Amino acid sequence: MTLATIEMETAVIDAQVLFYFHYAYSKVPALLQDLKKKVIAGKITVIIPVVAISELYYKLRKKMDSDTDQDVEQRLAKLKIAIQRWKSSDHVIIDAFDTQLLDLMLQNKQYHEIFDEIIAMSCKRHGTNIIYATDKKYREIFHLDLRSWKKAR
Amino acid sequence: MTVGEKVVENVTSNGRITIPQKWRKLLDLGDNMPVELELSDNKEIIVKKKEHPLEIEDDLFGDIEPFTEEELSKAKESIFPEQEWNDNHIDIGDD
Repeated sequence: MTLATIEMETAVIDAQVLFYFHYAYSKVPALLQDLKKKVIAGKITVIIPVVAISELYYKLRKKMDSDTDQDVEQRLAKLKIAIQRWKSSDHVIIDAFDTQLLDLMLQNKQYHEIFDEIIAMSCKRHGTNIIYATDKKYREIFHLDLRSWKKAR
Repeated sequence: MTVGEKVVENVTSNGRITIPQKWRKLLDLGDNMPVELELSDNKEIIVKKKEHPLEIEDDLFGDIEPFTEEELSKAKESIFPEQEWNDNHIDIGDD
Protein backbone atom coordinates (compact mmCIF):
# COMPACT_ATOMS: atom_id res chain seq x y z
CA MET A 1 0.00 0.00 0.00
CA THR A 2 1.33 3.41 -0.91
CA LEU A 3 0.73 6.30 1.41
CA ALA A 4 -0.10 9.44 -0.50
CA THR A 5 1.55 12.64 0.63
CA ILE A 6 -1.08 15.11 1.66
CA GLU A 7 0.01 18.70 1.32
CA MET A 8 -1.58 20.88 3.93
CA GLU A 9 -3.26 24.03 2.68
CA THR A 10 -1.68 27.30 3.75
CA ALA A 11 -3.33 30.70 3.65
CA VAL A 12 -2.50 34.27 4.62
CA ILE A 13 -5.15 36.12 6.62
CA ASP A 14 -5.85 39.80 7.11
CA ALA A 15 -6.59 41.86 10.24
CA GLN A 16 -10.36 41.41 10.01
CA VAL A 17 -9.96 37.62 10.04
CA LEU A 18 -7.73 37.93 13.09
CA PHE A 19 -10.46 39.95 14.77
CA TYR A 20 -13.15 37.43 13.86
CA PHE A 21 -11.08 34.60 15.36
CA HIS A 22 -11.96 36.01 18.78
CA TYR A 23 -15.39 37.49 18.13
CA ALA A 24 -18.79 36.08 19.12
CA TYR A 25 -18.88 32.87 17.07
CA SER A 26 -22.51 33.26 15.97
CA LYS A 27 -21.68 36.65 14.42
CA VAL A 28 -18.68 35.36 12.47
CA PRO A 29 -19.20 34.88 8.71
CA ALA A 30 -19.67 31.21 7.79
CA LEU A 31 -16.53 31.15 5.64
CA LEU A 32 -14.43 32.24 8.61
CA GLN A 33 -16.19 29.89 11.03
CA ASP A 34 -15.16 27.11 8.66
CA LEU A 35 -11.60 28.45 8.42
CA LYS A 36 -11.27 28.50 12.20
CA LYS A 37 -12.53 24.90 12.42
CA LYS A 38 -9.98 23.84 9.81
CA VAL A 39 -7.11 25.51 11.71
CA ILE A 40 -8.17 23.80 14.95
CA ALA A 41 -8.41 20.45 13.18
CA GLY A 42 -4.99 20.96 11.60
CA LYS A 43 -6.33 20.93 8.07
CA ILE A 44 -4.94 24.35 7.16
CA THR A 45 -2.10 26.55 8.39
CA VAL A 46 -2.75 30.27 8.57
CA ILE A 47 -0.07 32.90 8.17
CA ILE A 48 -0.53 36.10 10.16
CA PRO A 49 1.56 38.96 8.80
CA VAL A 50 2.83 41.20 11.59
CA VAL A 51 1.51 44.20 9.66
CA ALA A 52 -2.01 42.73 10.02
CA ILE A 53 -1.51 42.51 13.79
CA SER A 54 -0.35 46.14 13.65
CA GLU A 55 -3.67 47.13 12.06
CA LEU A 56 -5.53 45.46 14.89
CA TYR A 57 -3.24 47.23 17.35
CA TYR A 58 -4.10 50.54 15.67
CA LYS A 59 -7.84 49.85 16.00
CA LEU A 60 -7.68 48.81 19.64
CA ARG A 61 -5.38 51.52 20.91
CA LYS A 62 -7.27 54.31 19.15
CA LYS A 63 -8.93 56.48 21.77
CA MET A 64 -12.48 57.49 20.92
CA ASP A 65 -14.07 60.57 22.52
CA SER A 66 -16.09 58.38 24.84
CA ASP A 67 -13.09 56.25 25.85
CA THR A 68 -11.21 56.48 29.11
CA ASP A 69 -7.54 55.50 29.34
CA GLN A 70 -8.73 52.40 31.13
CA ASP A 71 -10.92 51.43 28.15
CA VAL A 72 -7.89 51.54 25.86
CA GLU A 73 -5.77 49.60 28.35
CA GLN A 74 -8.46 46.92 28.57
CA ARG A 75 -8.63 46.58 24.79
CA LEU A 76 -4.85 46.29 24.53
CA ALA A 77 -4.86 43.68 27.30
CA LYS A 78 -7.23 41.66 25.11
CA LEU A 79 -4.86 42.00 22.17
CA LYS A 80 -2.01 40.69 24.34
CA ILE A 81 -4.11 37.63 25.17
CA ALA A 82 -4.95 37.13 21.50
CA ILE A 83 -1.28 37.39 20.46
CA GLN A 84 -0.33 34.87 23.14
CA ARG A 85 -2.96 32.49 21.77
CA TRP A 86 -1.68 32.85 18.20
CA LYS A 87 1.90 32.28 19.36
CA SER A 88 0.94 29.08 21.14
CA SER A 89 -1.37 27.75 18.43
CA ASP A 90 -0.50 24.83 16.18
CA HIS A 91 -1.03 25.66 12.52
CA VAL A 92 -0.73 29.40 13.11
CA ILE A 93 2.43 31.20 11.99
CA ILE A 94 3.16 34.82 12.76
CA ASP A 95 5.08 36.14 9.77
CA ALA A 96 7.57 38.92 10.44
CA PHE A 97 8.28 41.81 8.13
CA ASP A 98 11.99 41.19 7.85
CA THR A 99 14.94 41.37 5.46
CA GLN A 100 13.94 38.14 3.71
CA LEU A 101 10.59 39.71 2.86
CA LEU A 102 12.38 42.86 1.74
CA ASP A 103 14.58 40.75 -0.54
CA LEU A 104 11.42 39.34 -2.14
CA MET A 105 10.02 42.84 -2.55
CA LEU A 106 13.25 43.98 -4.22
CA GLN A 107 12.80 41.28 -6.86
CA ASN A 108 9.58 42.92 -8.01
CA LYS A 109 9.88 45.05 -11.10
CA GLN A 110 6.84 47.17 -10.33
CA TYR A 111 5.49 48.33 -7.05
CA HIS A 112 2.24 49.05 -5.32
CA GLU A 113 1.23 50.16 -1.87
CA ILE A 114 3.87 48.83 0.48
CA PHE A 115 1.30 47.34 2.82
CA ASP A 116 -0.34 45.26 0.09
CA GLU A 117 3.03 44.24 -1.29
CA ILE A 118 4.12 42.94 2.11
CA ILE A 119 0.98 40.81 2.35
CA ALA A 120 1.54 39.47 -1.19
CA MET A 121 5.18 38.68 -0.41
CA SER A 122 4.09 36.82 2.75
CA CYS A 123 2.03 34.62 0.43
CA LYS A 124 5.03 34.11 -1.83
CA ARG A 125 7.39 33.30 1.05
CA HIS A 126 5.04 30.57 2.28
CA GLY A 127 4.36 29.19 -1.18
CA THR A 128 0.65 29.93 -1.23
CA ASN A 129 -1.59 32.21 -3.23
CA ILE A 130 -4.58 31.88 -0.91
CA ILE A 131 -5.60 34.90 1.11
CA TYR A 132 -8.61 35.35 3.36
CA ALA A 133 -9.58 39.02 3.07
CA THR A 134 -12.13 41.19 1.31
CA ASP A 135 -9.93 43.60 -0.65
CA LYS A 136 -10.36 42.80 -4.35
CA LYS A 137 -6.91 44.27 -5.05
CA TYR A 138 -5.34 41.07 -3.83
CA ARG A 139 -7.02 39.21 -6.69
CA GLU A 140 -6.99 41.92 -9.35
CA ILE A 141 -3.45 43.23 -8.87
CA PHE A 142 -1.53 40.46 -7.16
CA HIS A 143 -3.42 37.55 -8.79
CA LEU A 144 -4.02 35.89 -5.44
CA ASP A 145 -6.81 33.42 -4.73
CA LEU A 146 -8.99 35.75 -2.67
CA ARG A 147 -11.31 33.97 -0.23
CA SER A 148 -13.74 36.74 0.64
CA TRP A 149 -16.80 36.43 2.86
CA LYS A 150 -18.40 39.48 1.26
CA LYS A 151 -20.73 38.97 -1.67
CA ALA A 152 -19.48 40.38 -4.96
CA ARG A 153 -21.26 43.60 -5.88
CA MET B 1 -21.54 5.31 26.81
CA THR B 2 -21.26 7.15 30.11
CA VAL B 3 -18.72 9.49 31.61
CA GLY B 4 -16.46 7.49 33.88
CA GLU B 5 -16.59 4.43 31.63
CA LYS B 6 -13.33 2.47 31.67
CA VAL B 7 -11.73 0.23 29.09
CA VAL B 8 -8.66 -1.99 29.26
CA GLU B 9 -6.15 -1.75 26.44
CA ASN B 10 -2.91 -3.64 25.88
CA VAL B 11 0.18 -1.51 25.37
CA THR B 12 2.05 -2.52 22.22
CA SER B 13 5.81 -3.05 22.08
CA ASN B 14 6.36 0.54 20.96
CA GLY B 15 4.10 2.00 23.64
CA ARG B 16 0.97 2.57 21.61
CA ILE B 17 -2.54 2.22 22.90
CA THR B 18 -5.83 2.67 21.10
CA ILE B 19 -8.36 5.28 22.12
CA PRO B 20 -11.82 3.77 21.51
CA GLN B 21 -13.41 5.10 18.34
CA LYS B 22 -16.57 6.18 20.19
CA TRP B 23 -14.51 8.31 22.54
CA ARG B 24 -12.59 9.88 19.66
CA LYS B 25 -15.88 10.69 17.99
CA LEU B 26 -17.31 12.12 21.19
CA LEU B 27 -14.31 14.42 21.66
CA ASP B 28 -14.06 15.24 17.94
CA LEU B 29 -10.53 13.86 18.03
CA GLY B 30 -9.46 13.49 14.42
CA ASP B 31 -6.38 11.99 12.79
CA ASN B 32 -3.08 13.52 13.90
CA MET B 33 -4.71 15.79 16.47
CA PRO B 34 -2.49 16.19 19.55
CA VAL B 35 -3.29 14.80 22.97
CA GLU B 36 -1.53 15.62 26.21
CA LEU B 37 -0.19 12.80 28.38
CA GLU B 38 0.24 13.60 32.04
CA LEU B 39 2.05 11.24 34.36
CA SER B 40 0.74 11.18 37.89
CA ASP B 41 2.37 9.50 40.86
CA ASN B 42 -0.33 6.93 41.48
CA LYS B 43 0.09 4.69 38.43
CA GLU B 44 -2.07 6.94 36.30
CA ILE B 45 -1.45 8.37 32.89
CA ILE B 46 -4.03 11.03 32.10
CA VAL B 47 -4.73 11.52 28.40
CA LYS B 48 -6.32 14.84 27.51
CA LYS B 49 -7.36 16.28 24.19
CA LYS B 50 -5.06 19.24 23.76
CA GLU B 51 -7.16 22.38 23.52
CA HIS B 52 -6.25 24.56 20.60
CA PRO B 53 -6.09 28.20 21.73
CA LEU B 54 -8.56 29.13 18.98
CA GLU B 55 -11.09 26.78 20.59
CA ILE B 56 -11.42 29.13 23.55
CA GLU B 57 -14.79 30.76 22.95
CA ASP B 58 -14.67 33.51 25.55
CA ASP B 59 -15.86 36.24 23.22
CA LEU B 60 -12.57 38.06 23.75
CA PHE B 61 -13.40 40.88 21.32
CA GLY B 62 -17.14 40.56 21.83
CA ASP B 63 -17.72 44.14 23.00
CA ILE B 64 -15.73 45.64 20.11
CA GLU B 65 -17.13 46.00 16.61
CA PRO B 66 -15.31 44.49 13.60
CA PHE B 67 -13.26 46.81 11.38
CA THR B 68 -15.18 49.18 9.14
CA GLU B 69 -13.74 49.79 5.65
CA GLU B 70 -12.67 53.25 6.83
CA GLU B 71 -10.89 51.83 9.87
CA LEU B 72 -9.00 49.32 7.76
CA SER B 73 -7.96 52.06 5.38
CA LYS B 74 -6.81 54.35 8.20
CA ALA B 75 -4.95 51.52 9.90
CA LYS B 76 -3.01 50.82 6.70
CA GLU B 77 -2.20 54.50 6.30
CA SER B 78 -0.98 54.70 9.88
CA ILE B 79 1.63 52.05 9.06
CA PHE B 80 2.60 53.30 5.62
CA PRO B 81 1.17 56.76 4.89
CA GLU B 82 -0.34 57.24 1.46
CA GLN B 83 2.27 57.58 -1.22
CA GLU B 84 2.59 57.98 -4.94
CA TRP B 85 2.47 54.60 -6.58
CA ASN B 86 1.82 53.40 -10.10
CA ASP B 87 -0.72 50.94 -11.45
CA ASN B 88 1.74 48.40 -12.74
CA HIS B 89 1.04 44.87 -11.70
CA ILE B 90 3.31 42.60 -9.74
CA ASP B 91 3.59 39.00 -10.75
CA ILE B 92 4.30 37.05 -7.58
CA GLY B 93 4.42 33.71 -9.38
CA ASP B 94 7.57 31.80 -10.18
CA ASP B 95 9.95 33.35 -12.66
